[in-house]
Amino acid sequence: MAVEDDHVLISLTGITKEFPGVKALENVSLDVRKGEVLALVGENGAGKSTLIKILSGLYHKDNGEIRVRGKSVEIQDARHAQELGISTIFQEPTLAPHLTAVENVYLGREIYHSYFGGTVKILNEKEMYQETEKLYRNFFSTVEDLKRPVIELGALKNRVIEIAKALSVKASVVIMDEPTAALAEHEREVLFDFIRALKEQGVSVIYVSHHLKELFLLADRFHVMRDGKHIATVSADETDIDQLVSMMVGREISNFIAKETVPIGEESLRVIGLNQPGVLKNINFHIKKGEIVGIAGLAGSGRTETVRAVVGADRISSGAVEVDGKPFRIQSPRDAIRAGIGLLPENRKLHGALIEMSVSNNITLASIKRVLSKKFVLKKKAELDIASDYVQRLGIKTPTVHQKVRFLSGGNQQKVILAKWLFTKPKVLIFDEPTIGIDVGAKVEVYNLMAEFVRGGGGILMVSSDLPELMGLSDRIYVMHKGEFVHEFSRDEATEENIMYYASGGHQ
Amino acid sequence: MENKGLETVYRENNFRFSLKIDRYLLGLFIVLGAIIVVMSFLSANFLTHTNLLNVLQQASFVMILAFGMTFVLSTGGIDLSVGSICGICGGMAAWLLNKDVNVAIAIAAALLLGVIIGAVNGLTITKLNLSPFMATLAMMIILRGILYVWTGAIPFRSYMTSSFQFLGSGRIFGVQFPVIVAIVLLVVLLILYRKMKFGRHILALGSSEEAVRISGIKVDMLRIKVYALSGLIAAAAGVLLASRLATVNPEMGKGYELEAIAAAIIGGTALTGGKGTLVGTALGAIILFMIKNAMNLKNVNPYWETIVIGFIILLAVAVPILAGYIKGRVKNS
Repeated sequence: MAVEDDHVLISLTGITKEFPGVKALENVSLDVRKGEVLALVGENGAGKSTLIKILSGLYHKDNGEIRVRGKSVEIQDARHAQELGISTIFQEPTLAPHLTAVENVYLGREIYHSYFGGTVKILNEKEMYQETEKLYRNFFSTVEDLKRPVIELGALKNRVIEIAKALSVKASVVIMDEPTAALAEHEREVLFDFIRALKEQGVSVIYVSHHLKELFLLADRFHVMRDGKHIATVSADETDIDQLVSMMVGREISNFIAKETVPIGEESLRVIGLNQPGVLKNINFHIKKGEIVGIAGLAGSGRTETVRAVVGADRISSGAVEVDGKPFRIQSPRDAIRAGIGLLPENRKLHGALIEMSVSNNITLASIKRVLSKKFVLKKKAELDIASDYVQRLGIKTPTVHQKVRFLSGGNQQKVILAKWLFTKPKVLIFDEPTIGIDVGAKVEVYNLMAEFVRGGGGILMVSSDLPELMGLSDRIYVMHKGEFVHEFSRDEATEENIMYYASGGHQ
Repeated sequence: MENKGLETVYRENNFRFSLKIDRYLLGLFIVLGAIIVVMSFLSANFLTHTNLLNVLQQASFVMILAFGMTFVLSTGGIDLSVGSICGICGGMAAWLLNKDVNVAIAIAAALLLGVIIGAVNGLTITKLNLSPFMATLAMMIILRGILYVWTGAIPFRSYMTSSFQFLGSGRIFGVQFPVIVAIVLLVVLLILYRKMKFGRHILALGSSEEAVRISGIKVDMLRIKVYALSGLIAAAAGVLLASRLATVNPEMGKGYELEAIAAAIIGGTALTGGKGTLVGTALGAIILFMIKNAMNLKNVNPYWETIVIGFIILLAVAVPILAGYIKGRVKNS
């Protein structure tokens, strides 16, 4: 790691960043050379996002050194990073939708005509247009739609505008976080051509992506991260997908998950040909009574979208759902409840529980009719009895059933949501990230409750980014990639390596 | 290929949307023309020089407030305190004049007060993280209360000087001074809104706060400036009104905030931010007051006025949505 080497534009040494309870980055080092595409790869939570946020000035490092062109710097904020020549294109679009391409490129750095000794500054639209046009000709050899609001343009053009914006500040390093996320296949190729053009002009690119296959078309070197640590940096011609995957995963499977064998019964839920344009493509799967079925996939592969579509929370363009072998029209979560399907969403505080309401109110929420007398009046006593019963059975730790859910721990919130669904007498429960943000002890309790549910003849569909958890609990695992189910594993076939292989598009 | 199809649909939708904005302004002119034509048949007094100038003069105060409101709405915010600022700043000018303070100083003090109140609005919104609705609602009520206490519920009177009187009742080439102020303000604010950095950043802020933040623009400062501008403009309207009415009663400007919002919305400014038009706002205010004037001429019970105005606002908001919906239906079928 020769810092004096003038081919090295940025060099990080020993970067550490801690958040309360989590070590997001531990002693990470990285070099960016002039005119290269450096791919930053790793599983969800490996620390890639934290690293690029430090480089773009959104987070401050706790420890370590950043050198830009050999000079040690402390990156203060986004503007300072830009002044150092580092521009970032985030995964989420960051253009103002009602402004035009030119207006967006120059947002915050407008060019003026000055009048009255600089007291009145009128925007110099012409020069901004010409400069943007020049930039486009230079890098993209195409100029169009510079004067239309960007909301009217497609995903690819929006990406190109963001790149133009990044370049217009004279960036020598452009960081791109999943730039192809919203793009169609042929658009990706266009974008890759643009990125190669940047390289030729001596601009370096730090490219963050899950799609290993794609990266081999572009990257010069791979920087592999795992659990906040730098694992290895390898040249693209000296490695392959298999090696990268094993470096990205390389963990011991935790052994606190004890899978119970439960007799598998009749088919309970079948989903046929689910489609949602641009998001989900021909999703087919089934769950039998007593089965836990897992969905694996990387962030953005369409896992949450799948479960939301199944319970009618999002619209689908085509597809059918069968419950116990009979077709069931599901157009809203209300239909799903009637069909006997419950969803425990990933974001418990936002979508799962009413955190400002009491434990008892939350438990009876989805089947309130069952605690009404004469259809209108709440039977307070009955509601409290039912709630107390569930609190006891599920071991929910709360002082009383009147406690607001907000004050419970993550694990107990999850149990309250589970109690709510159990009270609807469901046939199938869908868990989206069942133990995210829950400590280890409570995790085991949640696993036990899931096992109890399938023992009683229920079926479970679970989405989890925690591969050991997914593999430890599931009877079968479907792998998603870009909105499709690309592979199905039986419990015995599934390993972290081959799940990651399919999840990152290695099969294509 | 499926993605491609999606993109085309998306594009068509939005193309339609951008056309609609232009059509919307055109529509406003047509509505205005229609009211004038119909009323000229219904009442001989309507299409007279005097009456039309009167409508403009009546509309000018709300129109001025609505210009400031257009800026605020463009950021995705709202300023409910403009009516109260109008009252209290008019009161400030009147009180100082009554104490024999120089006219220029009295006006400057009133305008400064407006800027300060607006800046306080901006500060509570950005630093205390209150929603614009709550922050300015509280400010509206507090200021109105202060004005009651200050006046002791007895209107300020006998502050008029001949030069101050010109502001509200003077004429240049036969046109009332408040109308002239409204026109000059329209031109100046149009430049600020369309041709300068400030307006560009405001529209960007209403369009996507994240985009503005990432572009290194100081979002909090921008917001504070917008509310300060709204306060300044409201204060100007208050000074004009104090001159026009020759008394400042503690109810002055009450309800103007809603009329200003109505004018901006009828004019085609979106409550969600990112889009706005000052010309539309001016037309909105004129249409609002022309309808009031028409009903007045036809001796319609003034209580009906409120009901009709309510329906017009409903219509103004519903028409673009319905138009889009009907077109969407045709396309889908």
